[in-house]
Amino acid sequence: MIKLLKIELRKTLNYIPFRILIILHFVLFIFGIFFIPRVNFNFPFVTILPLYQFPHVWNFTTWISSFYNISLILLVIMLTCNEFNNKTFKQQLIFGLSRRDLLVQKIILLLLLSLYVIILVGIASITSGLIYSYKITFSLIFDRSWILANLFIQIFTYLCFGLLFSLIFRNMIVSGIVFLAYRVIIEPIIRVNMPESFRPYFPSKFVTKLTPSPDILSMIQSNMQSNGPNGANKPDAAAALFPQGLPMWENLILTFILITVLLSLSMWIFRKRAFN
Amino acid sequence: MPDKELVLQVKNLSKSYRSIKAISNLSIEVGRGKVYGILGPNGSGKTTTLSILTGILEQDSGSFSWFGEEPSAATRKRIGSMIETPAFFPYMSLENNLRIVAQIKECGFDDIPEVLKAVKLYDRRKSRFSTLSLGMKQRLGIAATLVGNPEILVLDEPTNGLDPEGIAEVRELIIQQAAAGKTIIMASHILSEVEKVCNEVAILKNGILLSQGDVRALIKGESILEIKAANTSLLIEVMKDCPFIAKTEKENSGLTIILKEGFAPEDLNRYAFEKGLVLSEIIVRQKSLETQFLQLVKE
Repeated sequence: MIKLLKIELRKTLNYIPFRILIILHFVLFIFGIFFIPRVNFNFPFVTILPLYQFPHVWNFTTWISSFYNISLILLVIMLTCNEFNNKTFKQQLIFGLSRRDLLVQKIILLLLLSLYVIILVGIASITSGLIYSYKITFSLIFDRSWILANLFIQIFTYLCFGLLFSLIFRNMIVSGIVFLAYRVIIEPIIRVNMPESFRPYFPSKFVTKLTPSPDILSMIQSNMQSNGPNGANKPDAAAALFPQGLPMWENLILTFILITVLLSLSMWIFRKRAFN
Repeated sequence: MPDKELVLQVKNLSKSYRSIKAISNLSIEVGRGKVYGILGPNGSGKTTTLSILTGILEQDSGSFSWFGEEPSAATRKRIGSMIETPAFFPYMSLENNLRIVAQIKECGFDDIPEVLKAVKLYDRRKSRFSTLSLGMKQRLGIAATLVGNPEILVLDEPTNGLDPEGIAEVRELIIQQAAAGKTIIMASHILSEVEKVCNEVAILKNGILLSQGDVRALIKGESILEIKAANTSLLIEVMKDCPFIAKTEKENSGLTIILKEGFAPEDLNRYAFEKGLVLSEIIVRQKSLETQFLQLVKE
């Protein structure tokens, strides 16, 4: 295991596009959290400050980070397809790795990337919370930090998707396009044509729901309530606009099942595929 | 007997790509310390055979064992293999690429400089793999097989893409490794290469084993004599003690003989006569690999 970790690190960290993309991801994430919202949110009676305060900051940073997931998925697709292009999967088999080792190596990569994201989000949340919160207590800080664990599972699941697609198509561009098409076009179209009650059971639904987006409307409402007399008419507007979907534990179970399916399919491909 | 210790045993190996039979019912045995050549024209199944033996491809039927064990990732670590054009991470230095090999083989980085020197790439150790010429890539492939000092080298067309000087160097390297006691299994379509390097050879065509055996007997450009006498049992008796015969094989009513170097058919004739045996027939056949090979492949 340690051996596979060392090999994967050597391969990945020496790959300059990887370093560039990770740095880019880091910079854009920080930029996205601390700069972009300030430009867009200039409405009267509305302050976005609660987003940067405990406990909402946890939802906010994870929500922002989800916009950048796609870049990490494409990174995984790139790194995996490169191994096919360069025939290095085959070469590592020749040198003495097993087919299982090849998969474990890639799973390690996915775990490392997921870990990187939650560390980044964790640090960003705590920093921002400490700076902007008026009231800081231990329980207030860590009240919603469970979301990091969910975020980890969520990112890992998406990356597993990326891995499977690159194992199926072996080609960076095809895998990337098919993944995007699935995520943005195919699944939403199928979902919309399904009865309401089936919709939460689609992968991008229950995986996305692992990290609830910040309840901006209700935050704004509460803000308006305290700032003006006319804001309190529709207390459950937020709930109406964002249906709750499944309970969290169901989302989690579905996600674990999905991960098992994705990794089993990947293993099956690694076992069956002729690496020549 | 160390001569009989088998490092590789292949039994009835078959592999098809759809309707094309790449290899059928291949059985070979390789003893420890041998330099074993797999010779055949392009498309004869050499690379397929080596790919199966090194775990990249699955056979359709048949079996093989390394060191008497079931093939596994663990047995592959004891073998240094190069199949087709070696593939490395193009963006990494030669040194780093070999470190990955060493990490896979769990053998430490100590012998990497030495291995790079052996293939004359030490000065380029910091260069990226993608900057190498084809010949250099081939040499790095050979270097990778040497990492961790494995007992066996499996080389698929090791001189592919090399210039004449490179070919000579690689050949020298293989001979050195063989002299150091390694078992080497080498595929090639170049006759002279097998003739110069190997001591045993299997000849393949269309995935079928045409012939297998000692290179000296099968291939070397030495004189092969077919002799006959009226009294065959006396012939066998007399020739058994003859000091300048390298190899004897009984064939129909006579013997096929390979003479030791420096002896001529006259010497054999004189020897027989002195022992009271009159040879009724001496046919000298000059068998080279080329003729043997072409003859076999035509059949």
